[in-house]
Amino acid sequence: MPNRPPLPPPPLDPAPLKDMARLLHFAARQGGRSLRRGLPPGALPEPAVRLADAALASAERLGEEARRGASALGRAVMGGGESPPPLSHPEEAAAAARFAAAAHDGLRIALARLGAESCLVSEAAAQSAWRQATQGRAGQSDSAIAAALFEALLAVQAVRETVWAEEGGPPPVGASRLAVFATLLAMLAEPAGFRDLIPAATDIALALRDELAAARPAALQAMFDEFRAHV
Amino acid sequence: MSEPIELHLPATAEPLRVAIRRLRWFREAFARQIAELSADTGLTFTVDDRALARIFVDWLREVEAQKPANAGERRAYFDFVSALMLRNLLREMPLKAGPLPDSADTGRAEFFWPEGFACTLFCLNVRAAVIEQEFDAESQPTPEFFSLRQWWSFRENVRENADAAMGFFDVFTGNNPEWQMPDSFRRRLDRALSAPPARPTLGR
Repeated sequence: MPNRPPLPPPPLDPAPLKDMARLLHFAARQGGRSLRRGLPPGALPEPAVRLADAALASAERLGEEARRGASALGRAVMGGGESPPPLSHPEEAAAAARFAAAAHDGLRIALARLGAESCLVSEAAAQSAWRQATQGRAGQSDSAIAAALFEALLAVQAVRETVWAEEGGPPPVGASRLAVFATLLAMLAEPAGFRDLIPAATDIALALRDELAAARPAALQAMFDEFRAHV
Repeated sequence: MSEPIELHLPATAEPLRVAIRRLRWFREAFARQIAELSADTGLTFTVDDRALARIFVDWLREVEAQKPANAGERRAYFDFVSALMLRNLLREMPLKAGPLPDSADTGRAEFFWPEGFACTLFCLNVRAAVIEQEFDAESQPTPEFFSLRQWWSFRENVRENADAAMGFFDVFTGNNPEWQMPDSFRRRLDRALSAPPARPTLGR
């Protein structure tokens, strides 16, 4: 029996690895923050100071290593700063991965605009939302697919955690809906430069918050069509 | 003030009538107007960006809903949408002025009502730029714009009913003011077509 060449390894899906590294970074930062907040006011006795300092330094080091790992992985696989694929052509090569990487960045920018101090967004969940939303929708308009993506991103809970800045007042109600709408609206408005459009798209989402709270797919599609040229 | 303060609009490759309907450009143009007014007068302002976005969204919906199909009505429509923007700005007021500078002369409109003056100047300047670009026509404010008496009446009327801003804007631009239903483009147009040109008055 002739020797067959070994099969090539399956393509690497970096999203879960990036998610894990980001989770570590987020958890380490949050842990450090909780530790600082939990320390008793005033001077600590000497052994406790050393213990607290060591714990903080260790949390910060772990978080920084994880952040660097996620960034390096992102750059190695995608090059970084990726544009989303055209929403009306879900069949394009690597569309799911490109969309997920862009959605990750977009959601973070939108949540920061809404007053978040930090947040955790899952790229793997965004990839899964893309697959759910685009399946069987070939030929549909990009705004119809954006409406389906809106529902899917919320259903998979692409926004996993959000920490709100204490000095920024109460967080906006339905912040994830607002951030998801803003991200998709910016992608529809100008895919190549969508990151720069997100602050304005987020403010439009805030202005439409009452409508967005109850919008079903047909209404969402109409809102995307109404505002995509006005970001 | 004898001359309105200029507005150096942000660069755009699009016609101004299109650019002004993009929130980013609109916001940048507004910020520049505030900066130029501040540089000229010493006034200071804070801008509520979220309020400005709400004003923009409401305005956009109103102007899109009343857009005329007839190209011959475009000039009147640009007057209308500029006046409507001023009404919406004054109704929700996204600006807050800081303390007046020491040298402020409250007999001048910009110090008498800084926020109202800033919003009015912005709408006048954007309208003038659009009209120049679209119709190759110059547009200057009427003498009423420089009269403190008119500004006193303007502020008092707007406090009672923000719709009055549209009539005052017409007065400042030399158009026949529509006081009854200023936010209906069709009504303004019908009235303008049926009425002979008249010197605008502020006698409300």
